[in-house]
Amino acid sequence: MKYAFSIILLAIAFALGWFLNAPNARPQFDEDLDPIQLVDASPEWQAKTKGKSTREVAEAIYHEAMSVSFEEKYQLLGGILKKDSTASKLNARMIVMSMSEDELVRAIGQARAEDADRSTMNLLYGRWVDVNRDAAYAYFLEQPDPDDVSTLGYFIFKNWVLEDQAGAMIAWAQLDTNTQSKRLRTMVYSLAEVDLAQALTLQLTYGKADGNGPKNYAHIIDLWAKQDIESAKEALELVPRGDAYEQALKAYFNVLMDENRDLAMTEARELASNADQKSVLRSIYERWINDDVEGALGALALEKDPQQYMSAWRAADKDPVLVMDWAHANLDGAVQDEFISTAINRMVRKDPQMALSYIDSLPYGEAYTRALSNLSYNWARQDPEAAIAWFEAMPEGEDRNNAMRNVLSEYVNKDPEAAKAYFLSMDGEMQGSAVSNLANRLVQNDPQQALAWINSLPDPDLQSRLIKETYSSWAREDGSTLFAHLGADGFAKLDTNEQRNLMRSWADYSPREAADWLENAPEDQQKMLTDRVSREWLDHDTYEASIWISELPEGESREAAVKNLVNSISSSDPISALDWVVDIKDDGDRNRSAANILRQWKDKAAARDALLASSLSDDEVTKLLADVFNEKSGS
Amino acid sequence: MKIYWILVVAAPVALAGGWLMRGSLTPPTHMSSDFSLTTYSDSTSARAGEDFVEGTDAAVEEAAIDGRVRLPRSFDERLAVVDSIGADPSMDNVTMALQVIMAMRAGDLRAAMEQADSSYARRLLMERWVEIDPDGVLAYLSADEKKNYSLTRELFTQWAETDIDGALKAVQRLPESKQSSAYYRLINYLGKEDPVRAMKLIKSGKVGGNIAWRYNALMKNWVRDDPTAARAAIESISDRGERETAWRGYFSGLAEDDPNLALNEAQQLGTYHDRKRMLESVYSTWLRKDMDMAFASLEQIPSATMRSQIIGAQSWRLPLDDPESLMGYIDEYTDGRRQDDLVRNIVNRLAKSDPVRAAALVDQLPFGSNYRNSVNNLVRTWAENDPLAAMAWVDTLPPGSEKTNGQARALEYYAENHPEEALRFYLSLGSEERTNRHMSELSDGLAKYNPDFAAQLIAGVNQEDIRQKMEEELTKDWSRTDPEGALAYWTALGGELSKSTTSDIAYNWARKNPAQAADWAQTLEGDAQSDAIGRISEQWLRHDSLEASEWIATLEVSPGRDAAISNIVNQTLRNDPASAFDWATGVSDDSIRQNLTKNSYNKWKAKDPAAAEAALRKSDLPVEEINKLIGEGDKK
Repeated sequence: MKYAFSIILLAIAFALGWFLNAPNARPQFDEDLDPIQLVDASPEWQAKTKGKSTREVAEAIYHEAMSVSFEEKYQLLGGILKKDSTASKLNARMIVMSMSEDELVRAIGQARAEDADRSTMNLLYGRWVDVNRDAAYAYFLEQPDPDDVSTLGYFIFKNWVLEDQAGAMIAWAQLDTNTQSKRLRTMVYSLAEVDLAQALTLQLTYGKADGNGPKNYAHIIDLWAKQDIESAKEALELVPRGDAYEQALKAYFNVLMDENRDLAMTEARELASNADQKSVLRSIYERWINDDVEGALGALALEKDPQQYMSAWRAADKDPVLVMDWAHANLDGAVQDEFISTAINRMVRKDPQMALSYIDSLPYGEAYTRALSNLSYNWARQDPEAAIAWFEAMPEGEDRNNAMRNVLSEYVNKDPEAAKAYFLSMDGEMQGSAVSNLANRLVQNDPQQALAWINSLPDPDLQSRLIKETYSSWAREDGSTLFAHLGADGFAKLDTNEQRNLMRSWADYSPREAADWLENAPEDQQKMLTDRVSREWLDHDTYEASIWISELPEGESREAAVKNLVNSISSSDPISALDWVVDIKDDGDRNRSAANILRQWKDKAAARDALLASSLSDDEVTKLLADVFNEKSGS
Repeated sequence: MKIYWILVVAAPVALAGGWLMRGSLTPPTHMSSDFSLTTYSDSTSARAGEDFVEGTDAAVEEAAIDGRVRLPRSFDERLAVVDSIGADPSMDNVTMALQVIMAMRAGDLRAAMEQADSSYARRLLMERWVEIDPDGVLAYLSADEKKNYSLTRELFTQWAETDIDGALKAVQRLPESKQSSAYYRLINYLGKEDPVRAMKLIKSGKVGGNIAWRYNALMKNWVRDDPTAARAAIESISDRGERETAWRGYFSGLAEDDPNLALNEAQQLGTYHDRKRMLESVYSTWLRKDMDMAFASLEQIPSATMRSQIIGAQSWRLPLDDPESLMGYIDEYTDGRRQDDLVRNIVNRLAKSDPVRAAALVDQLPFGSNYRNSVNNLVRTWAENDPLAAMAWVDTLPPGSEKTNGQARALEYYAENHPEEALRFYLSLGSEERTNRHMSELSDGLAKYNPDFAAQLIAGVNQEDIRQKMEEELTKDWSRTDPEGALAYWTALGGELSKSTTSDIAYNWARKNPAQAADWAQTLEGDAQSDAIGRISEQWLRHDSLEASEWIATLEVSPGRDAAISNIVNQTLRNDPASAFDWATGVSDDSIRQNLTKNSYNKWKAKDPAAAEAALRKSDLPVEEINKLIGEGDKK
């Protein structure tokens, strides 16, 4: 009995060992696929593939050792490519390589119709280009939208430029500008794999006005520098100055930095252009900071203008304490302020309490107030209650009010109901400071809801202030809805300043709508409102505004708009301005405007000729000749 | 008793035996289960020593696939075959390379990945290494300080697909800096396979990165499989901002499959804000997919303002394939400032890729602020890359301020990139074209290129009047980056400091080092000193009001001191009118003092009338000024 027990025990121990070392305890990313599952399992297919691995099936198809239909190949390809593994890539290629050109074209048509995935399209297009590039190119050109067959274009030009550069460029010249840019990039990258000098020549010859130019140059110089840093430096000098040179220069120095930072620093200082020096040294220091904050900051302190070479936030992310101490020791003035406020801004996002302790140690000045502002926004975004507790403990004054306004703006965004309740709990003075920010955010959420809430408040004075601010924000957000809400009667009840401001905001975003509404405006405010709308519209589109002005009925409103029009175009188009000035009915205004146009006119002879040819009266012309050109009557 | 001792010894042996037996029967993870090297090496047609021919001859490759030749055995040969796909990316060659890669072991894959020149080869090697040796890749990533985003991405994409639980454990072995990228992949996978679990993972707060955008990405996929569950999940997000961003992902995903449905669903939302924000997401997808259909569908949105706001929010995403049609749509659906912003943005983007086409668009713009800004932006972008072409275009513009500004701006960029040519070009202009404005921009560009070099160039200018003006302009521009250097240059030339030059040097120096600038100001005399003290005090007060006020207190009575006190008063007036008033009484110039005391007194009086009046009566101000202030106050 005890022997039987012992045998069972040993068997259990063996089994335990067996299971503990089960393969599924370790990751396996390259499991095989079952070919039977990859194609609609017809009995014929099952019979053909039974007991075979996908690889064996793919090989058999490639060697034509297995008879398969086009549909079976196509389905098998799709099935294989559902798994993205090296084995699948290999097997799929064998299937594709077994296809005749007719089968490839058929498969491409079917795959496009089914919106097949990118890996399928890549293989089919790639193979077609291998088999018959001319046919593939003709097909590519036939497509109404080259972007639909972008991958095909990629394969055509990627290979073509390697085999026959002259032919490839003749074909490339037939493409539209947008496609040319993409395919030039393909060819430059492809050539760069085998011959960097040729790739650079290709880009220099064909890519002058190419938007991808800077990236292409940078790619070439990057590869070049990795292969041979000395000749890359010479190649860099061939890159045209501007954006392309800047990016190529960075690529060169990135490689040089990896090899020898000291040499990179020396070479950077030898660059002729200060802008280039600055950009490269900045890049070197940024990478240095990533590796070794202390060492980089130590070297930076020896620079004449260290702030030029570092982005504060990078270093502040790594070691804020070290960075702040460094800034205090090595920078001064507004430069120090800008640096410290950027650094604190980064700190605020990570740890508001820590940032606060730094802010408190700053002298009163721009860095302090900017940092407070950033802290209030960011802290409220993270934890509005804590931010409220903080600003409430601040001494009274403008800084506290600013902090409170910022916190409330964020609080409304995060939790509108709680923010509104908090606002109502504030004292009158604080409410007065916050009312604009609150209304602005409430309107962004929903102006009608904001008004409903405001109307439910018991304090009429607070109601009135909030409504005023709400209208002001609403006019900026959606003037047409506000004016529809107000109606002519509601608008007439507002004071003149408010009317003017609301109309200006609306006309700023929708001058035509605002102009159309003017007929609803009170008679006595027509002139003032037309003046506002015409200013905004003229600023946006002088021509459209001038058409509207020309159609306005005679009167003081039109007069105001014409004066604005004349002012608006007097320096850019003085001839038209002089034509329009005749429409100003007030003699004094007309004369002043005309004189102003003539004085601004740089070409005095042309100005004089235009004045003489204008429709102004003879008396006015005589007066203007005397006033502006110092020509006395009869001279 | 004996049998128990045997059992104590034999049981661990049996356990180990089971372990080893299973291990020996399980294929090693670094071998592909459907690939065997013997397929090639056992080939009867291959002869030892002659089995590998270098190069990419199609016949050799075909033979390899046929199994008639052996694959290369040495590491260098294998690397050469794999790396050759950079130069020959044909399918035959890539297939050959894949076979070689399949035959390589983990260590060789890693070494080859590090040595290959071809980026395509590196990618294939990396993918295979991840497949067969994920633990090794994980250890490599954990030890390597570089970010290695692509390797992290590849590892966790594959790991998630094979063993999501293992992947979730493995991610914790990565350094913190790489975890966020790995979690992104895992959430991406879970988002497709088990979005509820993905949601829990994001909510757990472990995943790092921007939580709101993690929700957004999750919802983009989830809505396409199960919109009801996605909606419920979004509602469970407590933070309002995160919830809104998640909703935006939902609508963006919905629009991928059925933009009309997304449009209708977004229009059902309760508030204007919600409708607008979600429609922005719908259109960010729709415009990318089909611009014409998207614009046509805008008619279904009743509010013209909302239509305009939605388009306005897409400024960076609007497709530029057909900019002329796009401008037509923008003209139709937007107006005013929003239209200006959109057009400016389109011109800016197009100017980088196709400045000639951008110029054609600008030429069609109506005159207004939009036209002015677009001309400026186009010139700036164009001149950075091709200043001569930019200048040629500017010359075609009708006369006016846009043309003048454009010419000046183009010249500045020309000088910044090609200083000698730009100066030659400038000197070749007729005297009328060579306005002072052009000179200022030219000098600005030269100084940006290199002020020392610019000084040399300018010294070679023969026309004395032009040279002297340029020297002064250069001094001002130089002072922006190096005020001491600029001052030394100007002093060496023997030039007298004009008001504007002094002011520029003082301002720029005080921005970097106010105390040094203050010492320099003390060496100046007369108006130059006053101007310099005024500019320095302005900057110093902004930086450190206490230190600045201590310096101002030490200044002797002078117009400069008055200017500095004016700055203090104006700065402190709002927060501390009492202190402002105290400073104002110390101004020596009667007119400035009266103005400042009046402002600060009135401000103080509005807050604390008794204290203000008491301080006024005790002040050293002349009696008539005190009486005047009190009298004015009484009248009010």
